[in-house]
Amino acid sequence: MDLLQALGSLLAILALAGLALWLKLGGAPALSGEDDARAAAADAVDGFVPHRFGIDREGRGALLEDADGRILLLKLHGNRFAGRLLEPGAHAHEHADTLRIDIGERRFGAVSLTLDDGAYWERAINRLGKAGNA
Amino acid sequence: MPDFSPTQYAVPGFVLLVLIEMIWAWRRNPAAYEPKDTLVSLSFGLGSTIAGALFGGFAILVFIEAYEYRLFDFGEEWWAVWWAWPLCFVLDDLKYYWVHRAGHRIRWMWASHVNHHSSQHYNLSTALRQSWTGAFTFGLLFALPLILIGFHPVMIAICAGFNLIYQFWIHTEAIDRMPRWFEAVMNTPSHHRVHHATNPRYLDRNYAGVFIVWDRLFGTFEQETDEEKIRYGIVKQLGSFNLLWAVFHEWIGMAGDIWRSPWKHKLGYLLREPGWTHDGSRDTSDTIRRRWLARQEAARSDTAEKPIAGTERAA
Repeated sequence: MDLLQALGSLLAILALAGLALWLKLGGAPALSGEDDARAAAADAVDGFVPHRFGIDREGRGALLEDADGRILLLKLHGNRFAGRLLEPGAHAHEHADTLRIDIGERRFGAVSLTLDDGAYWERAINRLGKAGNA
Repeated sequence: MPDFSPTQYAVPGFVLLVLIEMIWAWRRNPAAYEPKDTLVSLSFGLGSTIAGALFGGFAILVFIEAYEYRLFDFGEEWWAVWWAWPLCFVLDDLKYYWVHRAGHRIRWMWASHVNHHSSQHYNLSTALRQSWTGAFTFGLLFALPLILIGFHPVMIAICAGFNLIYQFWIHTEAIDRMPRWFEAVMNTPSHHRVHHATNPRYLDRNYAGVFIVWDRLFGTFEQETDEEKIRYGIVKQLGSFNLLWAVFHEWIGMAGDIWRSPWKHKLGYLLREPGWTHDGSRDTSDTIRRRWLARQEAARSDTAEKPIAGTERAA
């Protein structure tokens, strides 16, 4: 591959990505309720059945807890949801009514959710760390 | 000796078809594309070509050396032996099946091949999401039998190029099913959607490149079903559009696991299937599928034990 080809390919890449943006492809899905959150949870971790739901008010993510006490964090990634089961390294901090969750995975990033019961989730997440240290 | 790279000539066609699929998406299914995901996928394609030019030399040296030990000699004008071309194409596709299967079942190979699967989308730009690190696996060894038989490395490279071109068009949701006879023999969008799915029923299925018959023959075929929505990507989705992280994340994870594990288990993290751990603390595709099958079985038993309202009286 010569330099001209590489530059041509780079221009084509930028043009196609720009076109996708211009055509407004993708969109921004939102979790509109427990059914959506349940489906997104099953997509993220096969067999995960939530029994407690903390859904972001704008539907950009959620915290979900199953019968075994496992907590699943869902975040909007592009126009799909990506999830992580929280581990003892996770930490949460509530400020105003926004809960910031840091799962200790830099590339996944910290996630901020606006929840009705943020205090519950803050305690539950921070308890994971204590359980892990016990 | 012919100096011909089919994939280079195909690039304008790739661009045009991505463009056409984007217009289809705009009219019918806007969620099929996501601009950042598209940018990452296409950057993978360009980077892969550059990486191939930078690191492909070692494989060429090995192939040229191995060719000296060939069993059969097609002569100095090997490219003029017409029947050797289709034979080489079919055998190269069989080779592709096995190298691809190894790419999913051996973590060292998966560290490279995971790049192709790391998008949560399935469109023609995903086809170009090719690995940058293939030269750092032992994938080249799978081509040695063909070379030792007597196929010239250039002939194999050209066949592999056409194989790659064929695989481009099957990365789409725009085509539902092809005619039955075609689905029976060839790899199709339907078969390859299965391959890119993370639904437990589809994990590690349909490794074929061009001919789906290899999967049917070696027991890894799975038919696409309309019963459940396919979800694409990897079991633990990246959750990041950082290109370099997407390229190297599995190599970094594997190196960390090897570093931290006891000596007697280090090789396991290199050569066992992705997700394998010496303490069983993570899931492999086999454990995920087993758990899913157990749930299906439990649901079936449950249904069988609870007769549908009204049927008890009728019986």
